[in-house]
Amino acid sequence: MNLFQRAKPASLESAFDRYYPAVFRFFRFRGADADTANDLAASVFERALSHIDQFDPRKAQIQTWLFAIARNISINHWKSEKGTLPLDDDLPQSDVPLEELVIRAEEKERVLLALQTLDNRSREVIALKFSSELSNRAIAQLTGLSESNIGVVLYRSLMKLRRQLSQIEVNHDR
Amino acid sequence: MIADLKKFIRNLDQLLDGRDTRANDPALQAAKALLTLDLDSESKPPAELRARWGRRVNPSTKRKTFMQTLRTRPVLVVLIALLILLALSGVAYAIGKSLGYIPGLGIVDQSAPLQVLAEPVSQTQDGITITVKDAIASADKTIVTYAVENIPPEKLSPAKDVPCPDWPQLKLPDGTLYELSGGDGNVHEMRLIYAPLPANVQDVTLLIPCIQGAGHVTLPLPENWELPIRFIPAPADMTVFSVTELTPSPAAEANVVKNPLTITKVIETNDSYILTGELLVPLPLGQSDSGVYGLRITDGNGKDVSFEGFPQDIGMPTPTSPNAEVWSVKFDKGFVPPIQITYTKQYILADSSLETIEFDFDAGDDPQKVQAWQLDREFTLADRTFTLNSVSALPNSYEFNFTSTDNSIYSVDVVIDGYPPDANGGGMDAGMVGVFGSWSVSVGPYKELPKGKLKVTISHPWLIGEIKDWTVDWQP
Repeated sequence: MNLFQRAKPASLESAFDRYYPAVFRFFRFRGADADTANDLAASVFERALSHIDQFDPRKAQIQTWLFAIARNISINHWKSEKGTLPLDDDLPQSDVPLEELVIRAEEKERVLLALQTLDNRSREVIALKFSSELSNRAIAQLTGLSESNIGVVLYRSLMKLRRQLSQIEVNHDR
Repeated sequence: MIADLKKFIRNLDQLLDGRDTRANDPALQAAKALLTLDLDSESKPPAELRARWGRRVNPSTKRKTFMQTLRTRPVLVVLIALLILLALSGVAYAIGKSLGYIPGLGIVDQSAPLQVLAEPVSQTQDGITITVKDAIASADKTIVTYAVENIPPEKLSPAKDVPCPDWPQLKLPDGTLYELSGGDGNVHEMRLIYAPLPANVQDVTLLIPCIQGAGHVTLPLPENWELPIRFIPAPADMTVFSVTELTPSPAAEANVVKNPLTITKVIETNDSYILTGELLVPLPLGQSDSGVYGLRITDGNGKDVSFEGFPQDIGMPTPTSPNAEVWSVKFDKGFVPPIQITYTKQYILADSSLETIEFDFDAGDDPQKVQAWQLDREFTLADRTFTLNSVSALPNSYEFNFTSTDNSIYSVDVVIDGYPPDANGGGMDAGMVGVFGSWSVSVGPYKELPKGKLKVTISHPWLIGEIKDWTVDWQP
């Protein structure tokens, strides 16, 4: 008798320690403050836990699966909560112009806020790439863009980010 | 531009990999600014969630250390000499834990008194009855089994519906909710595993949001079940078979090349044996795990022994190391010893080609109505030719069905451009059926199926890699 089944990788056990910080970084890059990013990262693992039996390692790596959940949660969070920073391409709803907020912020927040001046797609691709070093292929699967397109979006987004940071430095020095 | 882009991606990958690049590309400078942000110090993983994750994916993380066990069980000190003697023979029996096997429920730790279900409990809604048939509370887990009766046959088509997405929970008297940590079953019968109950808790409530294995949206069954469960001390005459844990002795490990296929537990019941085991091997260079493996058991005469893989009350054993693959089998007594267990694994490897094929596919305004499109389109990707025979619309995904006379192809990746799958269902991109020469790729799940004219991209052929065997012998 021959029984063919699929094996469940034991690497699930280490996934929490390996990917919680990455998922946290993803939400920080998406514009959440540290507390909110921790709450959202916890939600990702709560949701993953409740669906863990449906996780199929043949269909996706655990990292890609977790980030697909994170991406969904980020979309729903900003859609329902109107989070601390806008997810869509609208300009911020704060009374203070975003550029002003950026100048006031410390270096770390300055980079994060500069990131929020980019369009939604650029922010998302950067967040996925820099939070966990997902491959362009995995990001393509998550976002529905083609793999070669991811490279182009990354390049253009980082160029825009550099310009924003340069502009901020100029304004900050004035 | 393409060459520049490739160079940028290569430099960016080097940067992400911790290797600094001398390039003064402004894009890379922005990347460096992102990489040097100290965000990890703000990351605060909740300890409780971490512990729950550990228990859920590997209940053995609650296991006591050897010294803790010694402190709580002084009698064990006397047995250590015996253990050392046994170790010299190559295999030692693990004595630290008293495991027992209860048919229908599974393996439990007997180091604390067991509690069992006082009496079966039923609830009926719309003519459908759920009965909690059995339950046990032990030192390491709580197990509950239930049966569902009188489901109308016309509602047993989960493949045409969105499956029930939420697992049952166990509610304690103080309102604490236990999430499922394991289990298996089908629409008619489920076996659920939860964390151990606190001391002095005898009453819990099983909350079943919807019936597992059944449809959830188009053919809904009654939902939000609440079944009160009362535990009482287990009767003295309850049938509990002993579980023998096998661990290679240090002496054997030091002197012999370790067999990566091992047997970890042996259970002898009145008429059968149950074995659990592990395979611990590194991936062959450049290859990936296809997730497909086979088990075969032969007796002392070389004849096949019929067995049940992953018996429902044993399921997937807990691996003893993070990279181990686990298995369990049950077979009847009466074979000619010794038996030989053969574990076969199939590996796959990715073609390095970056070629893609794009084509348009019109799913129409109501894909569910059409359900299947016969396409029979032949494609060549990275010098490999295959045919997309058909596309099927499932309740929340599309299935692309391929064949090829090139038996070296295992599968391809398929993406519907602009429609990233919704992750809540679990799967993401390619679900592969490991039959050589034909395969299916499911794209989804989606809350709502993409419709109208869709652009589909096929890429990355996956090729059949090595097939390897490992064997281990055993006799009662």
